[in-house]
Amino acid sequence: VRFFREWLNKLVSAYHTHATFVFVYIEEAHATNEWPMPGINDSVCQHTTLQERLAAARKLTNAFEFDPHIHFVLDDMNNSYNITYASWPFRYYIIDGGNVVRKEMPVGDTVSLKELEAWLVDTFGKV
Amino acid sequence: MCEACELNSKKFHDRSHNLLKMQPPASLTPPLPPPPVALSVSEDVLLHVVVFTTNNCDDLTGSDPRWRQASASMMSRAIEDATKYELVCAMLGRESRLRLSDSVNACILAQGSDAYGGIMDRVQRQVGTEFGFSGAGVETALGLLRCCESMYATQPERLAHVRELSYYRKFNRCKAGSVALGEAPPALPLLHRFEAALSAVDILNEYYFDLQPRIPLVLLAGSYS
Repeated sequence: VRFFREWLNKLVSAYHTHATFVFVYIEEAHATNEWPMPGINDSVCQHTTLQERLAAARKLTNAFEFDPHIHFVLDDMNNSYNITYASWPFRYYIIDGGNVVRKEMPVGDTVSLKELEAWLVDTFGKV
Repeated sequence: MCEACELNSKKFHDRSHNLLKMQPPASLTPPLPPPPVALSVSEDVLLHVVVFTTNNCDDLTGSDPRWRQASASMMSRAIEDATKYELVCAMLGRESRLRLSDSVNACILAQGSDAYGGIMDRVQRQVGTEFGFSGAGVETALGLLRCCESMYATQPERLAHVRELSYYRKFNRCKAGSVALGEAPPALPLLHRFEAALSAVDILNEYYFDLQPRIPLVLLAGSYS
């Protein structure tokens, strides 16, 4: 998330009156005790309690500045959101008019918000 | 010793036999085990190979040559299959140890996460080389490492084992999911706020339908790592 944070902030800042942005904090992608990734995560283990998940989420939001219009919430410890929305390691959906209109996740190793930006610009114009 | 034996034995020497020095006839000498396979596999794997290849199936084959041939073919396939599985497991174990080694971690740190894919490719090639594959054969090694889930897709125990051996398979939670474009999203579970003592919140109701019912919802998910 940190890698496209500035891009996300820019989009949220520009379009938060046109769309609601919610970020669900889910299971770690590269927990140190599971799939370590040097340089990306040297301290966060996979959460076993909601308090640990909250601590990890706060570590993210404390270490990196996010636009205040992003509503951060936590998945529950049954990982209900991730099971339903299959979002690990990262994914976003756009829901409009009661339907899912975009479903995007990384291609290879690359995470991009290009589709989100294109949809926002197409739908609301360049802001 | 019967007369015939005694007679035959005198073809070799005239003295009476010393039974302690008797050797079995050449025809009964057990065949030498096959030479070790030219792969740098662990001793466990080699032992497995030798045990399999030196076991015979005479008790099962009887004297019918067709049955013997069919059985030998089945045994050959079984040996090949078991040997390949043992080899794949040994390679996957080595790959995981290498991926988690200090030297590979240092390499990732030095080159950055963008180089991760290339570094892991080199790790897998090294594993192939260590296990005796060379030249174009390294591609075979890569195939064994990368396609092991497909190879054992119909063998649940082996499939579970190869997943367990590769941490990057074991902890890979990536799924396509069943959320369909153009359809209504599935009901969102209750999620937890950061604040307000982790109270649960109904996202769709609070942020979408109740508060701002006519604007789109962008639903992102991820983690610190």
